Amino acid sequence: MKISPSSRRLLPWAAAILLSVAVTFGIIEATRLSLEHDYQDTLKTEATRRGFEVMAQTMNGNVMGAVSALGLVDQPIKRVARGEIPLNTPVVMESLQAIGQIYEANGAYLVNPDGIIKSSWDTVGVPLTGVDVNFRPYFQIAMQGKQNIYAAIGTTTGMRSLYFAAPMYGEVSTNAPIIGAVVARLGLERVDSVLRAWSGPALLLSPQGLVFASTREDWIESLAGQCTPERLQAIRTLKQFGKIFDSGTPRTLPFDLTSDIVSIENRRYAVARTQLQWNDPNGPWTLVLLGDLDRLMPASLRTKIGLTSGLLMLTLSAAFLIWRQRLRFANQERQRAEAELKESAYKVRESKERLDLTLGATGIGIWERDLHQHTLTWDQATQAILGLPTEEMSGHREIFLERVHPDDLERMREETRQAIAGVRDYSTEYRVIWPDASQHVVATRAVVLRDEQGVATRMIGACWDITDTKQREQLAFLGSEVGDALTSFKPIQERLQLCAEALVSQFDAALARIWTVNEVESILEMQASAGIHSQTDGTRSRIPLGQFKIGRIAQEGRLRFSNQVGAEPDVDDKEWVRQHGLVSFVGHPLIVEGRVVGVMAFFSRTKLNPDAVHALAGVAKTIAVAIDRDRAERELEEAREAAEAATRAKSAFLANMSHELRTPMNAILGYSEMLMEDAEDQGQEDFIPDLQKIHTAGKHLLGLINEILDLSKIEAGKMDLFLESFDVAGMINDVASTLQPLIEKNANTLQVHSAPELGSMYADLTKVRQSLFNLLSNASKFTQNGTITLDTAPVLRDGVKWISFRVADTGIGMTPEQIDKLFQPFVQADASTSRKYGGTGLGMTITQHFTRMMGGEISVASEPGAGTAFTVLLPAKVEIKPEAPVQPEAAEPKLPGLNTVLVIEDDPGARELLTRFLTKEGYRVETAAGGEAGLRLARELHPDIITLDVMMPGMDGWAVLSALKADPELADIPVVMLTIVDNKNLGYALGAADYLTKPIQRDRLLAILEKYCPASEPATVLVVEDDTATREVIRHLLEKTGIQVTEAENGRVALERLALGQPTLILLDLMMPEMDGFQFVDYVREHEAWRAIPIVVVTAKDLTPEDRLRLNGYVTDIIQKDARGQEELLAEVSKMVKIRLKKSALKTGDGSA
Amino acid sequence: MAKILLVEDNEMNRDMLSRRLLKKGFELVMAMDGEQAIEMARTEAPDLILMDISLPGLDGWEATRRLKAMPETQAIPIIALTAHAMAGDREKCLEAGCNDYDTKPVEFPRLLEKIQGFLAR
Repeated sequence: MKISPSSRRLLPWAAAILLSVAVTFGIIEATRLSLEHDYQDTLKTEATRRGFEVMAQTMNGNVMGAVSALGLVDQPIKRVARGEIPLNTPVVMESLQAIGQIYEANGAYLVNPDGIIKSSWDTVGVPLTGVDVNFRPYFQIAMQGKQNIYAAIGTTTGMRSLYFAAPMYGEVSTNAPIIGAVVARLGLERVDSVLRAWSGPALLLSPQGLVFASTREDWIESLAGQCTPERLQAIRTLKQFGKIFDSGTPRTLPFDLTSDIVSIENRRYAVARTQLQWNDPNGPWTLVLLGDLDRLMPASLRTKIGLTSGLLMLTLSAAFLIWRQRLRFANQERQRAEAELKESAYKVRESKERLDLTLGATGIGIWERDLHQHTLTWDQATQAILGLPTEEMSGHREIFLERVHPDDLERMREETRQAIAGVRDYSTEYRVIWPDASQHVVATRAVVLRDEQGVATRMIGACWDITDTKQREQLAFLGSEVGDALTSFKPIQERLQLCAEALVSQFDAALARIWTVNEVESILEMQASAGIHSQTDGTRSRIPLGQFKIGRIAQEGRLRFSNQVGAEPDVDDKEWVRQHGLVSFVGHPLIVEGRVVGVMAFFSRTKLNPDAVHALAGVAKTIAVAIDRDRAERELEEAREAAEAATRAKSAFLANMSHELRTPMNAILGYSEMLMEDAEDQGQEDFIPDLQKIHTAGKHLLGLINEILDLSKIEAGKMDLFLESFDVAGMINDVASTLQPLIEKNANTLQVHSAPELGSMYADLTKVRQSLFNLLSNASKFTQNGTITLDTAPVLRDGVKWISFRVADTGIGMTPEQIDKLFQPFVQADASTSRKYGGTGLGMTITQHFTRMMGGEISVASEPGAGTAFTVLLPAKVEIKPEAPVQPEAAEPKLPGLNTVLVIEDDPGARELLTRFLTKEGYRVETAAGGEAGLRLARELHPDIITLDVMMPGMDGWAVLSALKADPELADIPVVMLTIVDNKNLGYALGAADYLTKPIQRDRLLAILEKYCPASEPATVLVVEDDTATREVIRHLLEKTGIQVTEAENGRVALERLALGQPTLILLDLMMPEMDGFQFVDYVREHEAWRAIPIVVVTAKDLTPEDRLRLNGYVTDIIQKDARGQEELLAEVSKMVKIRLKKSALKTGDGSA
Repeated sequence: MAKILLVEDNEMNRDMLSRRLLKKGFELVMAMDGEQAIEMARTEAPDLILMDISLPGLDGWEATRRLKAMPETQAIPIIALTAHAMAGDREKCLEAGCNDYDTKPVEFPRLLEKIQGFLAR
């Protein structure tokens, strides 16, 4: 080629121009490529972000959360699944409906394990219940324990829907068996909104390549890629997309989505894909974004570059400048995308929280705990349930722990630890205290998530408020506790206090109080208060009826209940309410038979369920009945006391009257007797019969007075029983002979029939005799020229021997009406009787009293004109009933060892006889010849029992007895009075244990001694003393009194002895080698088994206050050796040992009783 | 002959009892209330005292307690006489220091026996 010189000159320019054009184009192209490359990266990020958003709206979204939570925790739904409640139970429908409405679903339903829809809610109107969805992948996947999103086109409706499906568990644990599936069906709005948010075209592809959703309407339901018959067949088989491919050839997308850059309608687009894990068995779904590449380098820019290509440098620099600018722009673009990605991650979480807000509508909160960061994330429902701060939705776990009731905190933490350790599921209940101080009960269940190594990383849980349920439970507990409290044998105040305390402990009351109505003063008196205040005498202790809240409850007889005490006009101290976090108030009137007897009221920190509050009426009723019964009992008791007081007053009056009557009787009888003696002396015998009449009349009158006195004694409770053994036949003969003159007076004859084997009876002789006197004199009084018979015979009743005394006469007899009045005091058969026959009419009453006192009974059979027969039946061995007036000294456990009897007797012969007899019987006998000596010996020896003669010179038996009983150390020694003077009355009154008349019946005495000193195991005493001589002396002294002794020369040896066997008592010296007394005591007290052994310390050490403090509470007695003579010291030791042994024996006796 | 101090506020009873005792050969001194009884016991040094319990002013129980507390009268046996016959009366008498006890109206032979019993010691 020939080049002209001009051309050659132009060539560089041309070349330069060409070059510059080429370079310019090159630069333009390089810029474009670089921009496009950057943009594709950006687009990918964008696709990932949009993918997140779709997942946040579907798989990780609030709908799925709600569906999963329902499947995990909803109890009513489970009960349906288990067939416990019907399908259309409102509570189930409510849950489904809530899901449906809140998430704008068009259907929600429950599927049983067989794939049959059991319960459903929908807006479409096509009934779902009963439909078989067993073949549906969403059901099958859910049954495998996986939640999943299933996108499909309805066969009949042609509607595109998303099915949110989750497993339904039999219990609140993901380890529980799956009993079905929960499904919600939604339109595509959520996906569409994500797609539309993209500036360019976007589409959602099924695993088979079907366009399920797109920003371009015309692309929807097209196929990406080539439409082969195989693909068509596969899609048809799925039945996932209705009938769209059943006929004809489906549309295909006019571009190839597998390339990175496609050309659509003469524009170039970059393609970015991201996969969606919806747990579709056919594989992941794909979200595709198309980004417009042409917009990166518009044509005007290119023209401009072309136009300036003449100026290379300029162009270059311009191009360079542009390149730089574009680079910066691309970077900015990428940074923005990344920022948005971050934001979208936040949105994922936010959408999750939105889910939980909706779960909140069903009362379930969802929370998540990061086990590495110790942070907690929660939703609004959880926030509401736990009372967490409203401004944050996550934070350190402490924020939550602060809310937990301190009493439940440790337990909850332990349960958390166990769940994390995999020991057990996390499923617990605890109380939380809100910032307003109100208290709520929360149940929570959680699953622990672990990484591949099995290390726990997160906990995800659901929680809900169970305060209501708890209250029903508590109500049941409360009922039983109140029942227990009220049936206890305690004063009513204590019982009511227990009820108030039960309200506090079982019903979470902060302050529970009970008032009772005082009708006289028209006020309410506080009887019980528990909780914040426990005193009943402060403010509101007396409330006038109708005043304040409590007074009005009582007046109106109506329940008052509020769950917002802070806002109640009745509550005057709002600050107090706020300070204690009081939320609710309940005041129940306590009503019995329409009468208000009190008010039960309490404040609580918990909102109360109205049902539970109304159910408390049952508890209120129980309390009311108890209060009313107590009042009735008290009134009865008061009435009884009044009646008794009246009886006592009457008796006192009668006693006084008797006294007043006796004084002139004294003169009448005395003077008439005197005159008779005078008449006799002076030979004026003719006066005697008249004087005799005066005397007889006086005697009669005295008899009447005595009867009145007897009765008043009985009624005043001052009549005592003096039981003794006596021969029945002998007593009968005695009575018969005494009464003979009286019987003969009315020309009657007395026939006595005594059974041959009557034997003896143990009863109050005087009273038996007096009863027979009364019956016989009564019989003779109402009989003329007749026969009176006294039949006495033994009777066996329930294997016990009784004696029957029957007094029959042939006299005037009685009508049934007269018999009725027979035993009433001061009432005679009729008024005329007293005029004709005289008497006080008390005889029968007294006889009946005597008979009953002895545990017997009296009966009567009579007919007018045919005579009367009285039968008195008495036990052959009368026992004193507990309520009987005389209480003989209770037999007490005996001092182990030989029993010591102290015989106090002035007559040497009698003393000798007793000593010999008792020694032979195995008693250790000590004697004293007189009262003073007896008392001294009693103090020294502390004998087990004392026999005491009454008639003694100097200090007599009565004085000794009084002195013995007045000395607290001796008062518990039983004393048997031995005397020729029959004065049991006095003996018992002074505290004698028993009373024997001389000559002493030996077997009787033995029986008494046996009763008060039963033989028992000998006592053992461990003597711990380093001085051999002292030890020996003590041993002798104790062994002489029948006590076994073991010895130890120091504390250490003593411990060895203790290990071999426990003594009854330890006698302990303090200052000893090796181990001293103090150390020994410390050791002994550390042994449970040894702690109860009494320790008596015998020491010469001057004990300092510190010493005493050290021994205090551990040592029973301390005997100081000080300056006393050995004899005196030994006596003291011996006495103390005996007292302590006796006391420990008593204690043992108590324990086994 | 033994000297008996009869303490009795009721004139008729005092008269009756004193005359019957005089007839039995006792020497009689009399007092009408507790204070007088103590005074007489000290001045008359009787061998025995018959003490009514219901006395105006110082009653028989208190008078007995005082007599038994004084060395010069301590040894004189006292028989209480009372119209009270409630359970506890006897104990109260003996507690006060009476040596014996009888109820009114007295059965004269029984009382006589008791008096002679004490005087025989």
